[in-house]
Amino acid sequence: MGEPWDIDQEVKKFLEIFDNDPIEAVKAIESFKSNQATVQSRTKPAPDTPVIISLDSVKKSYRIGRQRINALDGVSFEIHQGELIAITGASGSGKSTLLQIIGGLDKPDAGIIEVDGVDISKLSDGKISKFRNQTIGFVFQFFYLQPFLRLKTNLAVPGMFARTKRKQLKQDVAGLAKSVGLDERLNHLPRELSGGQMQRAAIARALINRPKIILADEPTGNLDSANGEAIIELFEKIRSDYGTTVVIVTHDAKIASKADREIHLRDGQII
Amino acid sequence: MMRLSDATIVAITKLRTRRLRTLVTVFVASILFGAMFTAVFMTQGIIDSTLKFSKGTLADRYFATATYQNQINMTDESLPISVIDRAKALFKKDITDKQAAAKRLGVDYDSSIETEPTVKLFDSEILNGSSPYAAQAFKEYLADLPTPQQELDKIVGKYVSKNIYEVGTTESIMGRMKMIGSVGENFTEAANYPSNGTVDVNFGWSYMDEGVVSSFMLPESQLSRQKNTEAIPIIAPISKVEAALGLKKLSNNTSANDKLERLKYIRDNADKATFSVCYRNSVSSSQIQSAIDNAKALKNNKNYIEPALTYALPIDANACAPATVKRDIRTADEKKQDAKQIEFNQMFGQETEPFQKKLIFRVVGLSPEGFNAGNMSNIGGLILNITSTNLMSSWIVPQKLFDAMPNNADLNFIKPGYNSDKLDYFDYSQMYKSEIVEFGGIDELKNFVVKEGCDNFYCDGGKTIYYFGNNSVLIGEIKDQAAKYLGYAALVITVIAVIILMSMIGRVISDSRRETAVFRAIGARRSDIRLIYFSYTLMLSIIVAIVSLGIGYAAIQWIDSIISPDATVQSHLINIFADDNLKFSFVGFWWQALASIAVLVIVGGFVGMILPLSRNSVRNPIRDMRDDT
Repeated sequence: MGEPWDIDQEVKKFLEIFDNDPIEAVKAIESFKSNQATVQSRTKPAPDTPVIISLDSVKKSYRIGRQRINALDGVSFEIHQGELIAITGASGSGKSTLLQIIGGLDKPDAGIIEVDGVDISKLSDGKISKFRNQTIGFVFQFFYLQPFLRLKTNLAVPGMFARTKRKQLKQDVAGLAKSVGLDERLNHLPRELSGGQMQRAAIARALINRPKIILADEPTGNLDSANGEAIIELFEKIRSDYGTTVVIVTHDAKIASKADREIHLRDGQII
Repeated sequence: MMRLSDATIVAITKLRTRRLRTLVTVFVASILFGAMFTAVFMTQGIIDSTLKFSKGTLADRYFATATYQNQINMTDESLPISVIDRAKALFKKDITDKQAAAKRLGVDYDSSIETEPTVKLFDSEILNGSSPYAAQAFKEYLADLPTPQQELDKIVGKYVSKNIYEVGTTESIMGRMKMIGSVGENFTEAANYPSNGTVDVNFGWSYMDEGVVSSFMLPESQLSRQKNTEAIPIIAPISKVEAALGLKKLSNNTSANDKLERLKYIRDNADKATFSVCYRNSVSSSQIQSAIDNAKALKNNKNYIEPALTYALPIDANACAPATVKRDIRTADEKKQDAKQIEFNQMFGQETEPFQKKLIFRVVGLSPEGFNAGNMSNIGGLILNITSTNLMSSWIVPQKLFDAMPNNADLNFIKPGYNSDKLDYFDYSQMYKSEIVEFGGIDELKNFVVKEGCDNFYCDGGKTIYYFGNNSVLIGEIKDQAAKYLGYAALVITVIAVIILMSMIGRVISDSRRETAVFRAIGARRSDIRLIYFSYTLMLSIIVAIVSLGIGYAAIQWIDSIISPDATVQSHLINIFADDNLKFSFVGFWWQALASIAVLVIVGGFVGMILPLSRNSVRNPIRDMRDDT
């Protein structure tokens, strides 16, 4: 883990080197990049909780036509239990790929990824499905609720995959719906809800199996700022009420600023 | 794996996506399977209705016809030379005797009028089929061989039968018969065999035991109304009885109800119908012909010289009376000479006295019209073919009733085989013998027909064995045949339906890629996804099965409404004594076949699901989520 860094100081250092030796300045930048140090702006100190997500030199590339794209180029970091982490970066920087790898939707080409103590890159399809069902809760930018299922059934779907007892599932759905403020909308279809309500429903769905980790990919991307803030507040509430680790991919600096830490990616590398 | 009930809840949503396409797919698949259901309903409907109508008729019993025919023909080249020699000897003797008798009696005799006993066939000499000498020689030859009856006994005797009934015909009746219609006997017109339609009774009838024909007979209450017990009892074709009752034929446009009313009327009044025939032996006929020729010649030929003895037609054309002597101006010597000639003819077995008799037939039963192959294009012919209650003879005299006639002894000349010895030609009815054999059950009947019958109607060795008036065997075969052809049709339809369903299910799976990806993201296993589509396919297939069953049922009800009235009429015509309230329905429930089709629909759905689902299983969920955002 690297030390927290101050961007103004770093720029000042670079300008000093550049004044003396421009070539040296470029080398310094390259060295800075190749160190692959986890340079984070830390707003809060790391908690005393165990590491729940650990990546070590994780690489992932895709072939698009004849071109090979390095989505992740040797990423390493750790996330502690109960942290609220923002993964930021420009479009194409690899943040969604990173989220998908953490969530077990994709496998790295190289490196080690451990979630809740398990190297998930080595799991079979059945075990990784169970991992996604029990350990992870996904929240998507476009909600992805089933349009023809009522809200109560939408929330229950992950529990169906887990074969949770019906009575228990019903109670869980009612409880979570209440906690996200949707208890009076359980018999509604998604098209009868607002964007903010749909995202809250999606979050409740993600929590139905009491996962340890919530992975949210641009959860406020389709919402106005007011709703977006409400969603983030909800994530904070979840983190504090359930101790859930929340990892949010976002390009919104405001949201990133509310996180405990920000992991900033550029060209598949953490900067 | 998730619960099936939960998978079903999720799968139901897929029925609501792409509704129009789903509706079109369900409709098209249902039309295909609906046609199959219709065919099944119809097959069973025809079978049920046929059985209903034929209760208590021949179809309820187990008959076969057994016929044995001598294989040797009178004109065969293979006949022993001794038969040829015998015919020649008989010919020579007869001529010698006749010459001697003619000389003794002082009458003219020209041996050239006699028919030669043999004819040349290429290098061989064979018997002449027209020669009485050949006929006699051939009969003597046959007498040393087993008779057709003996051969038949050998065949039938191997099996345990319930009854054996003889069948007699009027084939060997000498003389000729003519109908006496409403205007009497038509002396001038020849009695020609009609080219179509049912023949009149003057062309002959069969004799059958009541044990066979009882289901065609009028009820006792009607028979007891008949007073003229000296009239010959006969089962007559219904169309002839209709005419005899003075009823005009109904047009084809007549409603089914009116046709049934007509049938009922005929049936209820058939005992009042009679037919009259004038029987004349050869002498009576030739006197009548002579009267006609004489009158014609007198009219047309100024130079005609009337013979000394001429005849005139009887005055009363209804009486079946002999020709009357118009004039007899023969001299005593001429009369004496004619008497000698008569004596000469009598010596050598010829008929010399006119004999005629009016035969009155009273209707004691009704038979369906004879089978006409031309009817195959309409429902009546089809039903007739299926029911097979055709007696194969339009006019039938019930044997016991005939034997019980008080004047039975006066009717020897129309009894089967009575005249065969007197015939001056070979009576081929001697060459074969027919029986109707009744068995106790379908297995015994089938056993007999299968073992003794053959693929072609006529077997080698002279025997002909086939089912008679029975449809229980045919029904079974119809059902087997129907199952076979329905099976082929089902295969073709299922293949087409699989393609249609595969396209539909494939499209649904393809449209649901993002949803599948999301499910995978939130923890669904591949088996959960498969279970969801399994439930979807099952529901879709069940919907198709139900809709196609509904379409099939609606279609058969519609078809039934159109063709049932005509079929009902035809069935009543064929099964004349069936309950008036019976209706020929084309709607029947062949449960095994219906269930099989329903299963086929579901199986077809699953087969259609396999390929799209297997392709979907290997998809990358991330790409699917990415593609749709």
